[in-house]
Amino acid sequence: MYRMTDVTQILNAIQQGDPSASDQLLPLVYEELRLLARQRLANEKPGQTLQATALVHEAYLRLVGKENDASWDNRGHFFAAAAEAIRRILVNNAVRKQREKHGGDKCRIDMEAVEFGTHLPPDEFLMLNEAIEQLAEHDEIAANLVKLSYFAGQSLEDAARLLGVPRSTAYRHWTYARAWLISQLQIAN
Amino acid sequence: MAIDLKSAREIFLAAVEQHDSNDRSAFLDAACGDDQELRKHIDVLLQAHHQTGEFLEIDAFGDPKTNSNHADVLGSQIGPYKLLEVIGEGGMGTVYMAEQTEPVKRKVALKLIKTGMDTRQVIARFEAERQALALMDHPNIAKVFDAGATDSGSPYFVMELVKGKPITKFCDEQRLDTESRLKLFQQVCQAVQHAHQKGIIHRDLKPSNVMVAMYDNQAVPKVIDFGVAKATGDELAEQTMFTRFGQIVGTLEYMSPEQAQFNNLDIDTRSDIYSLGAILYELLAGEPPFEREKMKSQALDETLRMIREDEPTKPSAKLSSSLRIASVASSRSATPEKLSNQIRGELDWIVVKSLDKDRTRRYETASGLALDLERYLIKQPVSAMPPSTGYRLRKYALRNKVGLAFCLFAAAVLVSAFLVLLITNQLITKQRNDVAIALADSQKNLEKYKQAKITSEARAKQLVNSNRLLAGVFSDLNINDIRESSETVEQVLARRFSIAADQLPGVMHGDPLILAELQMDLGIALNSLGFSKSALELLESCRKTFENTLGPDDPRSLKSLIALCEAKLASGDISSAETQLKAAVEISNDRLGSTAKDTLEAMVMLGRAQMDAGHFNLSKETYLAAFRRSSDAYGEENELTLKITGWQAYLLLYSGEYESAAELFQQNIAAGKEVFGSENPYVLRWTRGIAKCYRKLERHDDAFDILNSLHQRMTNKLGASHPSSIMSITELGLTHIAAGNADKGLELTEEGFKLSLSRFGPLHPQTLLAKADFGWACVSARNYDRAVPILSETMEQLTEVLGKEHQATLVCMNNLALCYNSLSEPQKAIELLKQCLAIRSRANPDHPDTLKMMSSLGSALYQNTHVTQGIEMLEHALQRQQDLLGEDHLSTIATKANLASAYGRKSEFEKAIQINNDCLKLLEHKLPPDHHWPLSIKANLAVAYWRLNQLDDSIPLFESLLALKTDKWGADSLEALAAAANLGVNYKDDCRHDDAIKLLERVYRSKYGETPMLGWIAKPLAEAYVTSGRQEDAGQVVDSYEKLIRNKWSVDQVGDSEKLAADLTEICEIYFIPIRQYEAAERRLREALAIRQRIIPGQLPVARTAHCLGDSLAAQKKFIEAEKMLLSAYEVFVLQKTQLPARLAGIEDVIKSLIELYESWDLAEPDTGHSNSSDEWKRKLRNIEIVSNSPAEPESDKSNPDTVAVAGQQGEKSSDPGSPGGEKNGDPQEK
Repeated sequence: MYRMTDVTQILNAIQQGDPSASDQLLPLVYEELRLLARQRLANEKPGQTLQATALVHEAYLRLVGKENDASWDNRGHFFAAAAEAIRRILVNNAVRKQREKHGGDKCRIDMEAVEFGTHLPPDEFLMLNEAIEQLAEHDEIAANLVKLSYFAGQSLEDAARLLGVPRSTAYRHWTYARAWLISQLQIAN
Repeated sequence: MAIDLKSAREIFLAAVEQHDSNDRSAFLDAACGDDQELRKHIDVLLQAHHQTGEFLEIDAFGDPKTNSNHADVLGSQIGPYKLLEVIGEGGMGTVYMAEQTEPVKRKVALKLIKTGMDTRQVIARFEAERQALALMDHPNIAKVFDAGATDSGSPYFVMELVKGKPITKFCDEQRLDTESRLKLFQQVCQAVQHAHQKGIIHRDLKPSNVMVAMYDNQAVPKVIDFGVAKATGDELAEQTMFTRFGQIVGTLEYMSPEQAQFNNLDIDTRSDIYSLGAILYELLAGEPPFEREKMKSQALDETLRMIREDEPTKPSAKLSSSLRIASVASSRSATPEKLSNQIRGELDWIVVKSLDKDRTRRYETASGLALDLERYLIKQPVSAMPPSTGYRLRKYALRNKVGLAFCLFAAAVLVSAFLVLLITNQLITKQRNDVAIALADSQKNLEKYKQAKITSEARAKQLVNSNRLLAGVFSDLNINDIRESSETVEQVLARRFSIAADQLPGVMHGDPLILAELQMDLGIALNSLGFSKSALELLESCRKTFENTLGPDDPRSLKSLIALCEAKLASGDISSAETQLKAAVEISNDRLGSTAKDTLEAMVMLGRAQMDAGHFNLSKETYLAAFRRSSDAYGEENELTLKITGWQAYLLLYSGEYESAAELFQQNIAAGKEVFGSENPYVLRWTRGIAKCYRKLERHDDAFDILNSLHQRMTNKLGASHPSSIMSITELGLTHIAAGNADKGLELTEEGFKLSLSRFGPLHPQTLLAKADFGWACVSARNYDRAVPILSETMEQLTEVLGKEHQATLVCMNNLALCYNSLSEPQKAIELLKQCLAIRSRANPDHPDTLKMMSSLGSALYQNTHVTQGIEMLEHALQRQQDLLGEDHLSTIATKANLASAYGRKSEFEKAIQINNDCLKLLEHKLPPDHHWPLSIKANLAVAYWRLNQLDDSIPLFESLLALKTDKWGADSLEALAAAANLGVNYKDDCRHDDAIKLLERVYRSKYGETPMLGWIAKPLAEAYVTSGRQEDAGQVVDSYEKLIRNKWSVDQVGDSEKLAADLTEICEIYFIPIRQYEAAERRLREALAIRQRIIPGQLPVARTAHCLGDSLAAQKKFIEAEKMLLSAYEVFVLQKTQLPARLAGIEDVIKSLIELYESWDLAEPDTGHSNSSDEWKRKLRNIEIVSNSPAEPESDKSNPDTVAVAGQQGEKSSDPGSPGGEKNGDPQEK
């Protein structure tokens, strides 16, 4: 039971430039997300989806709360963390699945693996992830946009705002990002 | 990594801005310079850019992203639309409720498509459909009003605001039971049908696109998003393999297999049908055919493969195995068992049919699906079929039928001695024999079963019950009583059969094979009684049973297949019969051997099918092969071999090889008498066949000999209303008509019709064919007024009974068109022929009959002022006929002859001559020289030569024609006299005046001399008299002629007035002016000119009359007026820009008249410049002479339309051999 004030404090700390603060943020967000996701899956009616946007949004409400509606800047940090959290979960998940496929221990079915399935098969997902990392190396904004979009389910407009980037700029990065990623994936195949 | 990715990025982004590819290359050249690697990198990026599609438009879980901050958007304005609230989120974007302010104030739904799509493309695709979308007006379709782009470049669609919930949700919430769901769904089908008819395919039908809301306590469904899917390119085809990383999964559950293929651009309405099926599936079973979960958990490729290849479980099965069956059932207000029972069976099949991977097996139309649901709801059998065959019969047994009208769906009948007796008393023709044989066969089968020691009680009971049923059919069946009632034997039997049929399914429930056997027998019987359409169902059904149970190469399967094909041929379904028979022959060959009787019978049937389909060459080969095998194995005098040669003879008959056909028939008859006896139905048929050959060859006497004796024998032995007797009467009648005895012929064919009527009833195919024959007889006898009502009625009835595409129907239409043409209602004829042709071209574009029809249409066109069109059509038909039938075929030659006439009409005489010569040569060995065909063609040829003034060629032809016609019809016949008249005119033109006068006088003094047909003979006769100096004689002739044309022949109608004017002009030309009675000429010419200027101002005939008038005025020295006249005549020629050479057109003559005028004027009033004028005109004349390059002829103008028309008409009108397809009517009976 993390108190909301904790997260808010951390966010403020980040804002004030405390380098260690971000590291504290992630685990909190991570846990929250896992919890939420599990809850959702448990209540799942057939056809229920696990929308990243909603998930992250709910986590945000829980951890930061509406009253303490942080500035876009803060929100930006939060969502970035959320995106990162989800990304990590999914990557772990994919790696595990891959291992299973290649003769790993099939009996042990990790709850996480079952819960957080991406819509891509593990190989492809990991390839995509790899490509995103490479993108980050020469175009950080683009990569961040992709992460917010893909892992946190944010629309382009929202992602732009979260990153504090004007829409037109974001659009250019977005265009490039997609072209680049696709070309990389084509090469990989 | 020599490339600086960052700068590469900049270049890339700049390049993307360039929309023109030339600009872009230029830019890249500049930016990259020599750096090949860089350039390559950028190119790769650009290519990837174009393949972006929907990449990353979803999140990592495969769900659409959402715009969490709608608050920003709400209240903003997009064009005339103000966004009010969010209605929903879709894969493609967000749907808002908006308020439209202009031009009208209303609330609409606005769907904002998310960024990342190529807006221009989206809008362009939408525009393409916008027209069609605007035309959609259906209460269950949401209108799409508008499309556009926001300032930031996102496309949006504006649609009718539809309240409600997705149909699946609605039904669940309202707990609608299955029946209500179906009714609701039917409305959706109708909506989709409406759109399909407008050419719009939805492509993305799913429950969320079918919204249902309550209006006035009624549930009203509305289909939304028509046209959007296409516009936004929501098709896999448009995306490459790699965009699967961003693929939206949501729609796939309802996506059709063909849509699940990459690069499939061939999506049609049946895709929507699939989607409807998937929705129906969900409405019934609670889930779509392929589960969402499954789809989401696997890779896209796998999902698509699944859709394409895996068979979904049946709805009932899915339901039973579902964990949620209880909740599904409760939301359908039913218990799980009840629901399972409801869905199992027919609803299963309907759904499965809609979801067939093979789209040709789905319902053709959405309304077809709705209709089948309707059938389910009212408890009629549905068309979707399960594999077993007993179903349909059972279903019938469930309902109380109140008479079946034409659908004689009898299930089975068993043989008893009773029936056999019945048959031998009544029905003796081969067809009837078939029944006896067939039924005897089934008795054998029955015995077989009995002897197989059927121990099971059920079986034994079956037989007992069937016998009882049979006894019921025949008890109290008194043939004589029936004779006196108004029904026919067939009708009574049919009715009783159907009663037995009702009861039989219950009895025959056990063994499908027995049932099938009996179905086959009955089917054969029904077919031979003429109820081929009803036979079809039965035979199709038993064939399926046999094939499924015994395999396609079991003799019984083959037998049923052949029987089925025979019924198909009779009902006109030729192409499928042909295909099936081909297969059957092969199977029979393999299985039973190449000389087995069954194989040979199958080959014969195949030959018949090929013949009917017009594949004469194939037919010939088939028969030949069959003949060889049969004669090798069984000898030439064997029954089967003879049958085959009989069919070969028919083939020759249809191919127009009458001589060879007659020979072959002759041989067969002789042999047949030995082998079968002379009363055998085959022998009788062949006898009729040979008579027909003789009729076609115009050997009428031979035909009469045969037919008269035949008819006698039949009437004595079999009775007048026996089908064979009827057919021989009809044939006799047709022969009489061909021989010229119109009245007798009509009497007989009418009798044939009446006999058929009493024998078979008014709507039996036999009766209709006899009626059509009667109509055709009227046409042949030129009794068009009588023919029209008969043929129209018959045509309608044939359409109803045999279908619009049946050959007999179309032949009837053809003949009706011929009537209209002859009754001077050419437009009707043309319309009718066009219709005919359209139908046949769709079904059977290369059938000889279709081509004949094309030829008919071409003829009708050219005869009625559409000369160029007619020629085109004829040329086209000719080409095809030459390809398909060969140059030698009568139909080809007929078309050729018509084409020649058409060119003649256009005054392209050289062409006409060449073609006619060809025809004559081709006909030399096919028809006797005095057959009316070669005669007409010769006549046309001669006329063409005459028009070109090649008298050395025309005269011998006319002489020959005269001789032939005199021999054929006698010297005083109309034909011979007409020939004499034409020859006389030719002599006159050749200046052989004595010969000319002799002939012309003969015609003039004959009984036709004052009739419209030959009365015109007065003119050339007068001309000849004048030239011979016998002016008095000429005067008399002209005098009486003038009286005729003014008094006797009516001058009310426009055409006749013009005729009067023409005649007046001519007699002035040939008489009054040459004998210098200029005043008399002037008077008449003024009259004629007035008429012509009133009726056909500016046309060539006006010029002619004016010319004449000018001459007579000049001769009277009324120079000024004469000049006016002649100049006006000249002007008309100039304006007309006639294509004829100047000489023929008469321009030269006018100029010469002008020259003469000026010269005499100059003499009378010298030095007034007239000699200059005459010089000028002389020059003009020389110029023209140089151009036309032929010596000027001082003779009178030959382009007299009247003379030509009449002389030519004899030839033209009768050279329509393309039309007599009517005679083919006799053939289906004969078969």
